[in-house]
Amino acid sequence: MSRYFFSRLRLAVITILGVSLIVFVTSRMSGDVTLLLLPQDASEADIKAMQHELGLDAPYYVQYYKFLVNVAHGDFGESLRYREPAFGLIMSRLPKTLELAFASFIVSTVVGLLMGIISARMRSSWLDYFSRIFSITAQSMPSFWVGIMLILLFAVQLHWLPTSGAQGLTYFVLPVVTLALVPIASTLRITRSAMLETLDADYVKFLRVKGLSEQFIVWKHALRNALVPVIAISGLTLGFLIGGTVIVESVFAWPGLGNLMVESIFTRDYPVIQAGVGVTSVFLILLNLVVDLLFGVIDPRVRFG
Amino acid sequence: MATVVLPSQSRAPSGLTLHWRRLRRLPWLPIVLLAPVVICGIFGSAIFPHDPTTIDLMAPRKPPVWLDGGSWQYVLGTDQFGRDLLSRLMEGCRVALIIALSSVFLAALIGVTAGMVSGYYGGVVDNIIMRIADVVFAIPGILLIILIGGAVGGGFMTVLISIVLVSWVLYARVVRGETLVLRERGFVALARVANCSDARILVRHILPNLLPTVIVLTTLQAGFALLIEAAITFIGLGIQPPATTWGLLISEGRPYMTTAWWIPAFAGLAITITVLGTNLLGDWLQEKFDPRRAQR
Amino acid sequence: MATSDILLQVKDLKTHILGRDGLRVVKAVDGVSFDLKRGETLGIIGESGCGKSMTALSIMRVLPSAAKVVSGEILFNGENLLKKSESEMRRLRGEKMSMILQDPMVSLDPLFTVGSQLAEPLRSHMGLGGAALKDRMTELMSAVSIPSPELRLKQYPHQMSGGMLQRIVGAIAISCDPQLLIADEPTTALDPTVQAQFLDLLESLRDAKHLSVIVVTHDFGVAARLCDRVMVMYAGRIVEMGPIREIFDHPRHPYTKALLASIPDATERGTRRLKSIDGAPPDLGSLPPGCPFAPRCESVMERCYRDYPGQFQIGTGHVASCWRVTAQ
Repeated sequence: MSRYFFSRLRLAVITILGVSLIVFVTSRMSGDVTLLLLPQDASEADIKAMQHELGLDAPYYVQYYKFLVNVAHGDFGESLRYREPAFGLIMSRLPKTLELAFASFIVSTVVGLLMGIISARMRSSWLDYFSRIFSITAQSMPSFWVGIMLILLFAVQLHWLPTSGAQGLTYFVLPVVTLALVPIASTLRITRSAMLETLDADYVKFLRVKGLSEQFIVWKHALRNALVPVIAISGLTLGFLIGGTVIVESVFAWPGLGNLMVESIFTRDYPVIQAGVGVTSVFLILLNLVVDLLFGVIDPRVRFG
Repeated sequence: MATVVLPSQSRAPSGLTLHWRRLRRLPWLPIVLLAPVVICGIFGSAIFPHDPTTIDLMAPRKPPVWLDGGSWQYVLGTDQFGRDLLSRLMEGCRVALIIALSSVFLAALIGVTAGMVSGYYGGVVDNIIMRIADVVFAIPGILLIILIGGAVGGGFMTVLISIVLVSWVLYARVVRGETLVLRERGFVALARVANCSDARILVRHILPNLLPTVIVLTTLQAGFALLIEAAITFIGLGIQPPATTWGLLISEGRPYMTTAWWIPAFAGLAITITVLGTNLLGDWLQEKFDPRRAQR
Repeated sequence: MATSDILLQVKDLKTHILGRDGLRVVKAVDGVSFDLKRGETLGIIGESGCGKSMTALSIMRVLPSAAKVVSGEILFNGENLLKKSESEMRRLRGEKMSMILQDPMVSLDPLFTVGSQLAEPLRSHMGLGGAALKDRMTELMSAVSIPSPELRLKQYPHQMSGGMLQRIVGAIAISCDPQLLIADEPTTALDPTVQAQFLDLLESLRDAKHLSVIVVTHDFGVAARLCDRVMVMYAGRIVEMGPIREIFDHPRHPYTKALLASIPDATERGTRRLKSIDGAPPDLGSLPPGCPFAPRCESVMERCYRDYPGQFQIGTGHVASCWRVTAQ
């Protein structure tokens, strides 16, 4: 098990370094930051001086090294708009985004699993057909459009729910529904297909031969086997969810990280974009590491392969 | 053994019945959903009911024909400048087709090549390519797009490059997996013995076997490409007006949500229908190519 | 009384499978009747697709979702299994009648230890727990000759060899002292060297526990070792049935003769082409009238294509379904 863990850890570290490289490279593509900091009529000499001060005239690998050192200390530079450290800004907005992402994760996993299991057991019933139509349609709709339509229907027309903001439990409903829609669909499909495959498998035949009840077989054996692919994609699901918060927060004016990122595009606040992408990616990589370990716990073939 | 005529030997169906049976097995729903898009995309301006750019300030925000105030002149209503919504939607088909096809083609090109090389040669090359894929994949698509788009600005090229960057990884990984398996197959060993060059083996022997999977992936990715384009446009990094894309229609229509809901509604519906078409087609193809893995 | 020493009576069993398109009906088992006495070992022999596995699964009533028993009776200890409810069947399965499947690697759930899977029927049918459970499990492991049982019980299926796994499957099957054991191709998935060992084990278990056994196989060698009687199946029907010695020495149905003739003999001198049976098994979804073996039969007559031969008595306990038999 520990060998598995360490190989996964090594992979995570390499990936994090790779991400940092990408972030570094793109930041250098974003145009000369000196021109933004200096007044319009600055002279050549002034520009050169500022470049030297910012370390921009050093060779690239030196710049990268300095960048890494800074980042390790949490220094992503200063937000061009807010004039505060970008990192701090990101961290202050992160909790709200995590709230949304995790709420959606729980909802999507639970609903997806249940619907998938029920669909598989009641195969070819109207419920099953409905689930399948639902899931393929859900995966075809642009999420921000869904959000807008939901707002239109539930907030504007029916006045049941608030349109935007995040001041209470009711404010969670529409954003979570919007965000969780696609993961519900994919979890449902995977669970259903895994359950169907499992229920037809030979070891289930043997379990029935042993005279064990269908309930026992489904909830002890089939479910666990079906969970394997679900956990396998949960890393992807989480990645999707966190990416999805960018859009959903925009639509619902949810005061989280995603919203900040979109704002920063318009204000060209590159340090904030950098910090946001960096922090989010590292967070996701670590989360995926946890998922990999969980996988090792659930499936003994991975542990003692 | 004596030759005996076997009784009750069923005869092959006649020509007409055979064609009818073949027709019935086509994937009708995706075809019905996608045909309008393709037709509008190709024939474009020839079949618009109105010129999508003509502004009619006398008829802004007219509702669709089945609501009060609507008329058959503007079947789906008009936008804030009085432009016919249906025509604008039809115009959007062209951009949708271009984006879907070109981005998917490029992503497939890069991804399949990377995957084949990775799977076939293994070792260091495999390691490097897969680590690059891991890194790109580790950053959620939208954020990667924001990272790049925020640096270089928006526009068609940004959209294209973003979609390609986000999509190629899937191709690479899947193709790599299949190449690993194919590499061990008999016909590859035979080709090596016959002194075929690696490139030849890859192109003539391995690639054709990858084709079914690649085709399924491409179909599905085409749909995702449209969803990504819409999302990019929504955050302001996409194709800019005066071009017409469905994503833009939704964005532009957002302020008019309460007064002219049909603008964002039908634009989004257009996207949904198209992506639904590609998803259904992809599923059908998958079932056709590998009945073992068919969705039950 | 004659009836009390008959454990199982199958009367005119018919099992049909619905094709994937919902329209085609495959007659997997098409009118099978036989008896099994207590303590007897009956072999069901045939090629793949002849319906032998389906017959076995029909008796246990663990058919795949697309298959259904459409008519017939299965009397186990005098009671008709086909009339029983699912919960009644569940009590019988594992307890009074049990089954060994072909491939041990897929018979067990890869995510759970072997021990936990052995314990399941013991807990559920016999209500064992704690020390009694452990004792019983150790006892079973030694009955199937597995050394270091404590270690093995904590292992996962993928950590063991096929032969050992199949022995564990055997242990699970006899764990609650059943009366009937059905073995569906028990050695087919095992290495040849291990096959003989496993057959030895089956033999000793059967003798020790006075089991009545049905062995489904395509291998006459396996049948010869274990079976008292044998029934040969083709296209869902029994074509010949009788004591094993009789069938070997005096096969009367052309299919049986062809099967026996196609077994290569390692001790034979000289060169001889391997005899195989021409043609292919029929499509069970569209069986022609008459005898299903007719297209491949070496002694076929014109009548064979038209009328299906019923069962004809040949000697005591020896029957065959062939028009040629009556001609004699």
